[in-house]
Amino acid sequence: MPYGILVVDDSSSALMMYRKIIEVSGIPVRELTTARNGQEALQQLALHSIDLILTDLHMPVMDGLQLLEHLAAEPKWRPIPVIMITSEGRSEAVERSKALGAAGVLQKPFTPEEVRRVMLDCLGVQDHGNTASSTEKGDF
Amino acid sequence: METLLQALKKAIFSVFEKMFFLFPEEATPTGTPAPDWQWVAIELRETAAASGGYRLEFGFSPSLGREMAVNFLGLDEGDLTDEIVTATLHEAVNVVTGNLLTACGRTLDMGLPERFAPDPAAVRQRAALPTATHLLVEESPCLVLLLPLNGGPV
Repeated sequence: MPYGILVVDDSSSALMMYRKIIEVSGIPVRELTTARNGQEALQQLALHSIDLILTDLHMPVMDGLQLLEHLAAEPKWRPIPVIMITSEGRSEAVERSKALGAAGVLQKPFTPEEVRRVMLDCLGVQDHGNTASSTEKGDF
Repeated sequence: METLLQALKKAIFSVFEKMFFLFPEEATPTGTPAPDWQWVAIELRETAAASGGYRLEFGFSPSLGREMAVNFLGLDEGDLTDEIVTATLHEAVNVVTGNLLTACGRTLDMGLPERFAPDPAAVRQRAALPTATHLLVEESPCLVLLLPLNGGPV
């Protein structure tokens, strides 16, 4: 089943990186949508059918935790698994993300394989392939 | 607990290696950064105090910025734009700073990375401070400045 995936990050280079990681992950994608902050993500959710959200924690306008709060308050969005991405490993941010319902947490820097594994886990898909694990420099 | 400066160096080495496949080495100061360097700053403010905190300033030589973007995104050098390089450097500063906070165990609120144009005289002066970290990354220079926001100790 191909998935609708929403990636939320204020960094355009990070969005490009996630797009490439997802492309080589082997995960079937129906539609890959991006947003630059939590507020844009809510607008995209109203327009698209989304099965998984990857969101940065630290963003202007509306950060990842505020986005999680909005998702938790909306019954139709509450079941969508959210992967919180953060460069901080501080337990407060991680615990707060989990308390608000994040299905997974990824700490930067990460490898494409780590992203793929967490995505599959959150989608409840059994891991049959290992495409991204062979990703090396310049070879997404 | 390790000092903020030690934690910063550790975060830089770790992030450059894992995210950009690059291996920085500490270098001796080699003069003033050229005017075409790109600078990105980020502030760390004490959560409990209204005024305390730090400002990190990262100076990247153009060749290093391009190499980081190529390695991070898997692009050909010909596909790079200034916007892509700038966004990559912002992401690098964001991740290094987040990892620094994790390593040092301090409660500091992290701001957002911002590009800025420094005063060359100020850069010359700050580059000579003991809290300046001079790096060579595959022969491309990089300078990282750790500055107290209100004249406090580092």
